[in-house]
Amino acid sequence: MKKERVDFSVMGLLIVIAFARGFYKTIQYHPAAGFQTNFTPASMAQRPRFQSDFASSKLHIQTHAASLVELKNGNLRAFWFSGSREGARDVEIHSAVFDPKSNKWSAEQVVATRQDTEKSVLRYVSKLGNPVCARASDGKLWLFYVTVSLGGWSGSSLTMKTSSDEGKTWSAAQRLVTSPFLNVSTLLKGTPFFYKDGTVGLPVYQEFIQKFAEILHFDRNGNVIDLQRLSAGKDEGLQPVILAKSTFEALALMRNSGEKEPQHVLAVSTKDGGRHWTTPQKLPLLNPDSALSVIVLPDRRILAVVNNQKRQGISKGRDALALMISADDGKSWKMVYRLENQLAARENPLNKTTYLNNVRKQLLQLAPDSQREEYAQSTASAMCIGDDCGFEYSYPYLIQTRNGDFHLAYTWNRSFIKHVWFNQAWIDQRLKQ
Amino acid sequence: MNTFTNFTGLAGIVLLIATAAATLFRAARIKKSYLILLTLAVVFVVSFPFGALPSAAYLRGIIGDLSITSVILLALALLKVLFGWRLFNDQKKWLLQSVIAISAAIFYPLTLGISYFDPYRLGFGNLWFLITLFILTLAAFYKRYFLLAFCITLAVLTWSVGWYESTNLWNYLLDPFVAVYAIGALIWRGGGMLRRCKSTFALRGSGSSPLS
Repeated sequence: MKKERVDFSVMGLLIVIAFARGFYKTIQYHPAAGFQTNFTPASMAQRPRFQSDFASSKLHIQTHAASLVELKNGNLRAFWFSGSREGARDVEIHSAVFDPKSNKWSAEQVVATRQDTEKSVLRYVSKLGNPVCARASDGKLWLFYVTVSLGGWSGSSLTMKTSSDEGKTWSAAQRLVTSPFLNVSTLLKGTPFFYKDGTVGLPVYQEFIQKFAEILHFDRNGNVIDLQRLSAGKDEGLQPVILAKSTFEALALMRNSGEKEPQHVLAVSTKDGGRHWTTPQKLPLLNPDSALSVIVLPDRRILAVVNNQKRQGISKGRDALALMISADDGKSWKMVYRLENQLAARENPLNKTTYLNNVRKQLLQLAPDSQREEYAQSTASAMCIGDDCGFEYSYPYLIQTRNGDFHLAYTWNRSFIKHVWFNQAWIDQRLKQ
Repeated sequence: MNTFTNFTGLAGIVLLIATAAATLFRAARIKKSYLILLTLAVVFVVSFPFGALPSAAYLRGIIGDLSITSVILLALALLKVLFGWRLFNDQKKWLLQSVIAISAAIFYPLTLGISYFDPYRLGFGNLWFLITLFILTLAAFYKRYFLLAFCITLAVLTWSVGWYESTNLWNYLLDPFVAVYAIGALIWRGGGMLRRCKSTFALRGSGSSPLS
């Protein structure tokens, strides 16, 4: 037998050093235990407020997957992806700031491109996707977004940038490793949340072979320290949103990507601060395989924005969007307001001319008079293939700001990001009607 | 941008390309002195950016960072091809291949979401997982299966110091390519053993065994 050229004592010493270092690192590992619940009191505003506008302003371009974060001065910053179409190589992550005092959105700012991302992570990147922003416990903004190097969304991974100046400038991108199989296929949509110790939880999901939901846990420095599965196998739960009701109790609602009709929102819950979660249960809320956004009110009622209707065929299911409320952990729901409704077009399909007329009406309060026609044409170019036109109101992202007001952003017909601002007084008024 | 982890990640990919190139050059019966020069030239070409990115970065985008186990096996293969060095006893490689193949056969299906148990989670710093690896390493060391002990040890060491972007120990221990290599090598070895058994029986049956 051939002799080995490795010295026995050197090998032994290496084992001691490596495992001493490894055990030292391991004892610093702390799994999840307890959530932060910073319930925002209801706005002191006496008058109900409900208004809407567009956060995005670029025309003849497709936009999707908006998220929001409140800035330290009370302004809002929105993020979304924008390009010639979803999955195109020219897609960039855009951002704009809303000033509630002037009631205006700033011009769009590009915060990440495919080219700058691949230079920073020193590897090829073919396209960008969903962005979500979190404010870390040290006050920095953490921007997470999807990058793909090969294939479709199932080949995606997550990339992160940070900002110390409220999003005016961003650090170089950093790749996150969240999967053992070529680091595919983690995606994100849900709102980040805090654990009690100030560490951050990011709801994510996987679409490679099996579809399932997970929570990615970051330490205060932005390092991934845990990954916890919320659904598996044939559950088909995606795009989770975490609702912390108390330090130890939380609910996670998920998009239902199953084939079995009718699809309902899926829910899992924990009573031990996130150490263990139940298996998914169906809620009465309909869900045509579309993202939802949910928050908990100070009185523990749940406010949800969801496409609360059945799917029709493959394409129709996101043609209406509703604001719903539940006072019993999602067992029953009441509609607060129908934010968008084009369900009638299912029965009476529109040709391009009637579609444009419909869109012009929708744009009355949203587009500047001088540009309304161009806005309508921009919408038609995103939503029509020949005479076959559709409507899409999807990917809602709802937050409550420190003054108690609610801000919602969602994809408006793939051509604009719509922003809706309302308050508790308006919700109360709606519920009385 | 983390320059260090970008460098270590890209270095693994360059090593993969260099080993593949050196093996091809060797198969083409190129002289040893030219073999080293040509391999160095390949390393230079794939490491330096001609445009936005080095060409190795395109491969890195697709396959990600190699596990430390892969890096060790590639480095050993490269040293053998270029200089004829054998740092570890090749006859003991089957144990490493078996451990990789069995681990991968259990690990990958579970991580892909078929059940609620996700072994990948253990790699974020689970004490019992590290204790299991420690015992396996000590056993391999005691029995002088140094290659297996070395792969686990170096994976743990590099994970503990943050060698790669990944914070998960599994990414240092395993990757799909080393899993395919290990399974393939075991099948090849099994096939070889089967062929030898058949030929031995055939020789005995014909009564002309060289041992007789």
